[in-house]
Amino acid sequence: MKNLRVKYQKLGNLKFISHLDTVRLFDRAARRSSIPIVYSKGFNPKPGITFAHPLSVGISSECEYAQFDLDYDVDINEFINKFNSSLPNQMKITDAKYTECKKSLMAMVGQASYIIGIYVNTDISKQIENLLQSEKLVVTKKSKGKENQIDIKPLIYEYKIIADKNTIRLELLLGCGSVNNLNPQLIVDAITNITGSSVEDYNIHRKGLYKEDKTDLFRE
Amino acid sequence: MINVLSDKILRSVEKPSRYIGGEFNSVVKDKNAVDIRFAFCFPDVYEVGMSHLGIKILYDILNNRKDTWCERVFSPWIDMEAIMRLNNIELFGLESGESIKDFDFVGFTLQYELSYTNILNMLDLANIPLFSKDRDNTHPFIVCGGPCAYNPEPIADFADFFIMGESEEILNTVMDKYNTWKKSKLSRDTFLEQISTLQGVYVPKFYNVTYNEDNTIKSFEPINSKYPTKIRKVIIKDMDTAYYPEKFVVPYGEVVHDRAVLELFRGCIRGCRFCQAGYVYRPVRQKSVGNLVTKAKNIIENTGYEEISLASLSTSDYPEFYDLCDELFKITENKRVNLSLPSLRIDSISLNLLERAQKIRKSGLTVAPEAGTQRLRDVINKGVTEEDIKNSANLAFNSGWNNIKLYFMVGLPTETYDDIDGIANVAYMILDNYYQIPKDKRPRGINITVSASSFVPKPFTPFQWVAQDDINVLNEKQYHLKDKLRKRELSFSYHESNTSFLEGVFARGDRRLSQVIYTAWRNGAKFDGWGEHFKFDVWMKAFETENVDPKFYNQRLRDINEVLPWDFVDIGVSKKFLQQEYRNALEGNTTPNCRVECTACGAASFEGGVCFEKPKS
Repeated sequence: MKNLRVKYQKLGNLKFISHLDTVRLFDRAARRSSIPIVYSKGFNPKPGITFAHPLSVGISSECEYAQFDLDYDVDINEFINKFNSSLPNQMKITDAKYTECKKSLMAMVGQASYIIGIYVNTDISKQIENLLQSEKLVVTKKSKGKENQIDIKPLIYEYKIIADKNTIRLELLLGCGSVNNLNPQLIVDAITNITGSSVEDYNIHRKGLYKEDKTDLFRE
Repeated sequence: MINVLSDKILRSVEKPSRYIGGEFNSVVKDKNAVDIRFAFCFPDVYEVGMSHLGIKILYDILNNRKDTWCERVFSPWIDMEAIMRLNNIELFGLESGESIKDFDFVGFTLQYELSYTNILNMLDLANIPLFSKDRDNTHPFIVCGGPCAYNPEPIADFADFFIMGESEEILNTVMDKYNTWKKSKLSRDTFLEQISTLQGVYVPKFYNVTYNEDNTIKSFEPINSKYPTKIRKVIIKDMDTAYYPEKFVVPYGEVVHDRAVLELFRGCIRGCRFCQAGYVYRPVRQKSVGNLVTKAKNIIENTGYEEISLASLSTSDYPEFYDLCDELFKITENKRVNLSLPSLRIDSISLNLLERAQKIRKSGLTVAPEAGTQRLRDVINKGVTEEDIKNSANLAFNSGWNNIKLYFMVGLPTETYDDIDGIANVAYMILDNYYQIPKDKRPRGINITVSASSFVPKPFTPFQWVAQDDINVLNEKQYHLKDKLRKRELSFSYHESNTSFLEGVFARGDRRLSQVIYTAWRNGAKFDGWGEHFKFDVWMKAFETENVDPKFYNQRLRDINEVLPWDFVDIGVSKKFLQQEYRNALEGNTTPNCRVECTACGAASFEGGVCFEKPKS
């Protein structure tokens, strides 16, 4: 069995389809392009495709990762072309390589970088600076019907605020993965909570997904 | 992908993927390179509409034309609609994101009567005048088709024209005529005149209805002798050469039926007297095994679906059903695709099939006796005996199935409480049979679900003259049944009778209902098919305001010679035959199915299908 690790993007309005929808898209694209994927055994065979980290609805990305379990070697360029022609326009595989790594993709994810574009009618960059600078940043997180107060400051590793007229660009490096995960939506919510109607609109884009040590998920 | 809705808007609604388009196999064309833009509207939300087979067929046929671009349009959900109205965003096609107000055609498929207010709502969202008389050459032509079009009268005032029957047969001709007309720059009526000569096309404004003192129809006549007095439905004669798409638009998210569909045949040989579909789709026409297998292979390859289902009325009646399944299993098992089988008549072979198709016995088996006593089953011509039911159940238990669903209706013609009790008796009989099997031989844990829906008399059936039971009567019958079925192993499911009441009114309504629909919509009626949004009070108020008695339509026993609003439609099956069947029903006489004996229903006038099948020796 061969493990093919791929990097793909999810852009434009495709950010509004859920992770489950993405899984379904990949499943069907795999079937359409007749790629020799290994299926699980049992009553309901599932294709051997795993994902590094589920992307929340509303967030676009240029650096998502998935891994295919293949029966045998296929030519990488052929694979990319075939698979891409079976995907909607705004989702494309940008790179692929075989890997010997036995560790699961999901377990390897440690950090993620995001770019948040905030469209404002008043300059709130000072307020955002204060918010991110403070020792604690407590937000309300809803989980399984319960509401919890958590301090997300420790999971904000780096931040940079660039203000330019009506746009504020927020570059963030956040904890990501199964252990220390911070959804950037919580930061946006915290900002809109204190600045209210100053925010006209925003978008969140994932720029990079890394291992714990900030190295590329493609690297062994 | 389209950009008509901002991120802010998409983020604030449920299931934003309904509104973004760009799905695999969706067709995007250069709007300047086409002559005709067609908006195919399904009057319900994305998840419901994307499950519908008709839209897939017609979308493909139209987009195969170089000069036409067909786009899909679904009802925005209530949250999105509010935002659209607030921001003056007009209803748009999912492929272009452009307002459908400027398209050439806006077509609606009439799947169920309670979708009519959604049609008005969609027209309104597109800023298209709701009434046909208010439209001019700056507006698209509004066309309607589908099962409810067989009685188009309640919405005749809203559509410019209807297509009766299988529109894939004449759609290209209509488009060709449109092209010619568009270049000619003649009046709107000229186009309607030109297509009125095509078989299957009904243009309401060319017909006049007059009424008697008692509100029954006095006459229904063309305003000019050049228009046909009867509209004969159009059908595809040869199903094997008929167009059927080999690729479907693959939806995002979970749609109600998220799988490839293979249509085996149209029409039904059984002639169950309550079933409109069985009559209006006659004559029975089927596709050959070879054709179906090829189509199945291609559809699976082009869509990547993990499940393919077989769709037809009474699928067990497909002559080479088991051979077909054998061939299909070869493909599906190879491609790891699940073959989903519809309700089948239960016998040992079908059980084997079901086991092979569903690796786990996840769903139960269904049996549809429809009525609780043999007497009533004979009245409705449902040829299922108690022996049949017993045998099916036993077979099922002995093969390990422990979940049985029984389908019945309440409110059938000539029904008494003996018949209602009969339903409970059937359930208990099956339960008794189960317990008679030794404990070690029977499956563990039995669950029998009895489902009882309210009967709605439909046009073009032998019951089109009967009075529908009043809501109170139906409710009482349901409660009575519920009481009788209080046992651990039994579950009872039933539907609210309010929606059945309204369905009954519109199914057999006439043109005077259009004002009622309009008024109800003005006062907030929409998504009437969705229990939680159905506003019965708004409807009752609308009837009152428009001075129309709803019970005139659904609860009145009609004279067998009355002029019915849908008499002008020729579906093949004759009114004389239906009258005969009505009398047979009242006398409790059964009628054999088409393959046993031809009973001259009239469908043979289409010169195709089972009527001309060579009898098997």
